[in-house]
Amino acid sequence: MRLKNALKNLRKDANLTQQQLGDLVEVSRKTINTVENRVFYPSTFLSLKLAKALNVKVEDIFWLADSAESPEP
Amino acid sequence: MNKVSAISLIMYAGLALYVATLFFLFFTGQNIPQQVAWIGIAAAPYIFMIHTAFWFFFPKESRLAFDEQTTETERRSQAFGYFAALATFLICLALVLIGTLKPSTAYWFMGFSLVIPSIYMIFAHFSGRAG
Repeated sequence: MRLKNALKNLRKDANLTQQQLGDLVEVSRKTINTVENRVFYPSTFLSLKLAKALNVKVEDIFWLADSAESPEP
Repeated sequence: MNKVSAISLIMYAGLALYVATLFFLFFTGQNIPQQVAWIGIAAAPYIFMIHTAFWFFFPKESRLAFDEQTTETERRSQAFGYFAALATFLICLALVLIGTLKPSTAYWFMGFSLVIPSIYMIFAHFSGRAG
């Protein structure tokens, strides 16, 4: 199983840059970038902050996929 | 990169450069005054004070500079540095026991291994995994 995310799309839907989203959740732009690229897996706390900042549920940002090809929920 | 991240990177680079210079001077056979070797130790409280001052005067930048990813990367750098130092010690011990390496030279190698977490953090900064 792999942890996938739609953070990049949701951020763009909210018309936010990585820097602006980082400022909202108090992390650096680099951290937002590595989360989007699945290099860094955020904590539950940061995941909840991201969901709150984007006004979505955590499950809308992150989900488990059986393979790399699994579509978004 | 905000100013606290930049200062942090400069500190890591300064420490790595200082140790690398000592290492180079030792291996090129130049005489190193004992006072020079103590500069690194004397710098530690200054680094602590600079970091504390930044937390006091620039709390927002400090929170961003030491966010979740950076603290995780720091933990990894310390773990990596610990095992690297342990491996260096064991290799040096073996080489000293079989007579290939002098104990005084082994001492320098072991000292150099202590700067590995700093080098790890420099790479992490440039690869976007810290700062």
